[in-house]
Parts: sequence; structure tokens; C-alpha cells
Amino acid sequence: MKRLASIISLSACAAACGGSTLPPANAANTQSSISAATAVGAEQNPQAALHLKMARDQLTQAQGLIDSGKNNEARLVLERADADAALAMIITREAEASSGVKKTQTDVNALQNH
Amino acid sequence: MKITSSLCLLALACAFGCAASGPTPELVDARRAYDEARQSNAASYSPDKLLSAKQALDKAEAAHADDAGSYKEQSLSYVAQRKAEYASVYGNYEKDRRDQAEAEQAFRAKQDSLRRSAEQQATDAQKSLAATWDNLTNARREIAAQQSQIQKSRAELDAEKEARAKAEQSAAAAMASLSKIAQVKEEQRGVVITLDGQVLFVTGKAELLPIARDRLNQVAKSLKDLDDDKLVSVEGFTDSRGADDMNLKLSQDRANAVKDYLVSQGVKPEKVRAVGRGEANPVASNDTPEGRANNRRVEIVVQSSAQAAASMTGSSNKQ
Repeated sequence: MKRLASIISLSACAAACGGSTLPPANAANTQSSISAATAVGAEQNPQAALHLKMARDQLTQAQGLIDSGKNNEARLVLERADADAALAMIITREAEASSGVKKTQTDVNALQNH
Repeated sequence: MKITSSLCLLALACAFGCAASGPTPELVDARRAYDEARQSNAASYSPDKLLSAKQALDKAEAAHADDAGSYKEQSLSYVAQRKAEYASVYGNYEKDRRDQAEAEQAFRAKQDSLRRSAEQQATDAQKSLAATWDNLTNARREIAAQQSQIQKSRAELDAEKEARAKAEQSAAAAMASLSKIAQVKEEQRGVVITLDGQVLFVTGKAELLPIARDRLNQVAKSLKDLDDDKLVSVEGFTDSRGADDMNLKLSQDRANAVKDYLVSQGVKPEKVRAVGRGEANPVASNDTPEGRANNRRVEIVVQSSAQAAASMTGSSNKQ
């Protein structure tokens, strides 16, 4: 009972020392975003890969901050990581769509010159 | 796009109070990125993402106003820049998707058009083929009809030739048997059948004797089958005894009598002319009785139209 009370007070202190009233930073969401970008092939696109790397580095940094109890800072870092992950994703998708359009237009031209 | 890998260090440094009055480089980048996004395809194709970018920029601006140069300003500016870039890229993505759909539609439309055109060509070709086939069939039918027509004409022609040959044969035969009862001689003016006046007429008259008819029947027979271009000239002659004008008249009357009889036996009248020659053209001497008898004659001349024209010179009474 005494042990439990000390744990609770320790946790409360940790929260207080983080200095925020907001919910804890969600590193898991950021991880999902990074995985999703990887899944659509961001690694193979030079520009997307750049942002993917930044996202990963920032995620790592944020996890460290969370472990240290610096949730506010962690949140800011995770926001950056999320933004990079999203950009990596859209860059990859746009490149794919663009080449798809070119191919279809080539096919149309081929037919028109029939 | 700036690579801000050193942001972590910067964050730590600025956490201990670097005071900057102007916007941080990150905020400047964020503002520029937003301006570019506004002019990009984001405006038309992803306005919601553009709005989100604006909101992020506003948060960064607020952080700058609140605590210029702070780590928070830098971090939020970083995020704002990324969101602006995101909006631009998203605009391109949406445009690509629309272009793709349009291109696919154009492709399908062209495919359909080509297919319909090919189908039409096939149909037209089939129609053309059918029409050609019909023409061919008709042409064949016509040829067959013409060929049977030709065969018919040939048969008719052959029959005609045969008939003509037969007619010529019988005319030749008749002419051959004529030589038994008359003198038949081929001269320049034509074929001359000479009949003795004595066997034809009552002495001194133009009246035909009964026995004359037999001979004249045979003559008529050979004259009937003559070619269409042949003409007959019946010419009467006398000896030199008696007056010229009397002899002329007698010879003319006798020629007429022979002509009339021949016509009555079926010889075409328009082919025959009767001419009186009188004492002209004696064939023997008028000094002897035999000679005079020979001169008293009727000549039936079978001639072509050219021969007839040539022999028309210098004759009087004609019929």
C-alpha cells in the first residue's frame, strides 16, 4: 500500500515535471505513418526517402524525450516526424500517379495514330 | 527544401533563451513554402490541404509573436513548411488522378470508335462482296443467255446456208437439164438461154404454142431459184425478111408473151424485162433458110445488175 502510493506520487510528479496538461505524445501513430510510407515505396523515391529518414530520426528523438518524461518537447518532435512521414507518403504517391498518367497518355496517342 | 538535421541541437541551444526579434529561418521558409503552395495546384485541387497548411503557419506565427526565436516557433515553422509542401504535392496528385481518369476515358472512347469503325468496314465489305457476287451471278446468267442466243443464230444461219445451197443446187440442176431443151451458153453479158422461135410460136405471130409451155415451164423452174441480185432479160429476135418496124414489133410482142408466161409460172415480174430486138444481132446468115431459122429466136439472159446495165445501151422498145 505504501509502495503503491509512492508509485502513484512518482507518476504524478513525472507528469507535473513534464509541465503539460495535454495527453501524452502518441509515438505509436507516428510509427504507423512511417510504416505506411515505407509500404508504398517511399524508400525507392529519393525525395521521399529523405523525408522518411527525417521522420525516423525524429521519432527516435521523441521516444527518448518521452522516456525522459519530456512530453511537451516530445509532442513537438512527433509533430515534425508526422509531417515528414506524410510528405514522404504523398511524394511517393504523386510520382506514381504522374508516371501512370504519362503511360495512359502514351497509350491514347498510340491509338489515335492507328 | 532545407534539410534541418541540426534542429535538435538548435532546439537545445535556443531552449536557454536565445532572443531573436526577426523571424527564424524556419519561419521564413514556412512563409515562402505557403506562398508557393497558394500558387500551386493546391489552390484548385486540394484547397482543404492548403487550409490546413495555413492553419499550421498561423500557429507558427503565433508562436513567433508569443516568443520570437523560440524553439516552439522553429518547430511549428518546420511543421508549417512541411504542410505547405504537402498541400502542393497533394494538388499535383489530385490533378494527376483527374488527368488519369480523362486519359482513360479518351482511351476507351478511341477504342470504341476504332472498334465501331472496324465493324462498319466489315459490314460494308460484306455488303460489297454480296453485291459483287450478285453482279457476277447476273453477268453469268447474261452470258449464258447470250451464248444460247448465239447458238440459235448460228443454227438459223446454218439452216439458211443449207437452204441457199439447196436452192443453188436445184437451180444448177434445172439449168443443167435446160441444156437438153435449149442452148445454154455463158457469155460476157450473162448466161444466155436460147430458144428456137419455131418451137415457141405460131409462125408470124406472138402466140405461144402448147408445146412451148413445157420448155418454158422448165425455164421458169430454173429462173425461180436464182439469187436475188440476178436479173432476167427476155429478148426477141427475127430474121431480116419483112419490114424493120414490123419485125421490131413482132419481136417485142414475142418477148412480152414469154415474159408473161414465165411470170405466170412464178418468176418475179420485177426481175424480168422483155425487149424486142427485131432484125438486130443475127447469129447466122440471113441468106439461107437454116440461117434465117436460127435468127428467129428468143434469148433469155440471166445477168447480174452490172451486166444488165452494160447491155442496156442502144435498144429500143423495152418493157
